[in-house]
Amino acid sequence: MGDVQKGLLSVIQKLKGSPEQEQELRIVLLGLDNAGKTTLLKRLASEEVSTITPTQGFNIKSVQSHGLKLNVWDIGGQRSIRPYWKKYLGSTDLLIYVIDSADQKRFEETGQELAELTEDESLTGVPLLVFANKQDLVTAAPAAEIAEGLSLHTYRDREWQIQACSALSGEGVQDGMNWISSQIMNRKK
Amino acid sequence: MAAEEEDDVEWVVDTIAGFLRGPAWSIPILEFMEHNCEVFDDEEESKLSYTEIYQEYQALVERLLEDYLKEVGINEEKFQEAFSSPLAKAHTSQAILQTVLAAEDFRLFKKMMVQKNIEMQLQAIRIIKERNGILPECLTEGSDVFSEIEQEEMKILREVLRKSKEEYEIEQERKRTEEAHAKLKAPDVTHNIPGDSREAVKVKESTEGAEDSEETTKCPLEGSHKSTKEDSKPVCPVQRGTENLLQPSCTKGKEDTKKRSAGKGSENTVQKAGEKGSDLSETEKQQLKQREDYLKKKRDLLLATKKESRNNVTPLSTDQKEEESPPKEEMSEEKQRLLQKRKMLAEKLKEEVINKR
Ligand SMILES: Nc1nc2c(ncn2[C@@H]2O[C@H](COP(=O)(O)OP(=O)(O)OP(=O)(O)O)[C@@H](O)[C@H]2O)c(=O)[nH]1
Ligand SMILES: [Mg+2]
Repeated sequence: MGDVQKGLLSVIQKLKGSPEQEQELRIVLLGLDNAGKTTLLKRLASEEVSTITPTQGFNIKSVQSHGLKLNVWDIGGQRSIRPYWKKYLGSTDLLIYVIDSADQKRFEETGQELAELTEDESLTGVPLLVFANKQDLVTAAPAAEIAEGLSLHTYRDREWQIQACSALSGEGVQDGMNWISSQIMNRKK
Repeated sequence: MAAEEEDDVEWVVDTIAGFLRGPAWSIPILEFMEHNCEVFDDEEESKLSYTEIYQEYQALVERLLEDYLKEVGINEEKFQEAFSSPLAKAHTSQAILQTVLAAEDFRLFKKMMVQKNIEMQLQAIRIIKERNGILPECLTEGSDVFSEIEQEEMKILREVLRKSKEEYEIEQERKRTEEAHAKLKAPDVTHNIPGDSREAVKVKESTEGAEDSEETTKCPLEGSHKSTKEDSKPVCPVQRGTENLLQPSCTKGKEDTKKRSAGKGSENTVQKAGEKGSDLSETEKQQLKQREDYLKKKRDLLLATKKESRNNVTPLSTDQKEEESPPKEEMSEEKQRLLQKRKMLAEKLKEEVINKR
């Protein structure tokens, strides 16, 4: 798609009904199947999180946070769906990567997927928030350990943060959102 | 802003708004929507396949816009200037812009496509209603479980719709070419399309798979004739209590009364769907009407084939024996029940998608 046309559309988009032009951001939520992405998405949207089934396609929800409109895309994490992830990476402002902290067997697998993602051109320089999810489980590994396993400290040219949380109880989720808005604010300056 | 500049801006805005109202824009957009809407359902979760269709739509919108701007000599700068001015908002309505905005807003796009899908289903229902005279009013409210069998039914219906539309497109294409060559002689719509018979066969094939399913859903209507394994049947949307209501509706004598009562209900349905379409311009509405008329003819043909193939299959399963019921009456009962279900499905969809907004 050419830049010129994109320009045309974005101009027309200004005519959209909304009174004030609030800033809209595109956030992509990725991670292995069963990591808790959809649970997190629903938690962010203050919806019921008890009846969530594995995602075959994708979900989108708008979340208001710190005066920003975050359009969050949650894409299924099953192996068969992962090849489609890259179709959703374009124009992403921020990547959230969710990990099941209690699923130690799959730490390597999730690390590989994340490494592959961060190499994708469309995500160059895009801030990364890792949610070390399911901290409510006793078998959950601490966030610091996971960060080490993922070698997050080797990431250059990209802001990153790891946040321990439980999408189920909501604990830690807000802290992650605070980091996101601080990132966006910094970027604006 | 100088008056001259303002005129210029106004001209650009009006020109583009005019384009967005006209057939050069609306026909390809509408065709795209009709061609691709069938996979769009009202589930909260989106299918991966939507994304590809969405990208195609974006490309179409961009191409149409770009080509037009080139054609009338509006460059991007002018366009930007014009559409950033307050005039742009005053001279364009959200309805006109919707199809453009949908190219930048996936959720708007999805909503549009779901709506289109429903519209087409409602159209089909109207067609069927016209064919059969009525859509009987004997469904219990609130039974909203739709089995796979019913979805299969809808699939077949959509298949019929799609085939009709493909033909329509071919015909329109030919018409256009013909019109371009000989402006005087407007060809009439009743061309015999060579594909007809082949198509009919295809529909027949796809119907066959559903025959069994239809048999299995027969339960409530044939409830009076013993249906032995009734409990194991998946869904019985019609409650037993409605049998009496149904019985007379199958006889010719009551036909007229029912036409007035039940027929009216579904007329409203279509009416509402029509209102929903009031986002469309007059031209677009006309085109839709044209298309509908054409589809109507084609569908009548195809549905006739479908009915025929159904009649050829003995509607008895091993589970259900209907010795007492004459096959003819039974067919019409069954037919009516299916129509009701379709109507209900569409009503439900409509309620969820359109009214909820
Ligand atoms: N104990 C606990 N369970 C969680 C938490 N978050 C999610 N789960 C559970 O983990 C399971 C998977 O959650 P989902 O949100 O469906 O996971 P997902 O990442 O969307 O999975 P896919 O859609 O297959 O990619 C569900 O049973 C959730 O209830 C959490 O913080 N703690
Ligand atoms: Mg999910």
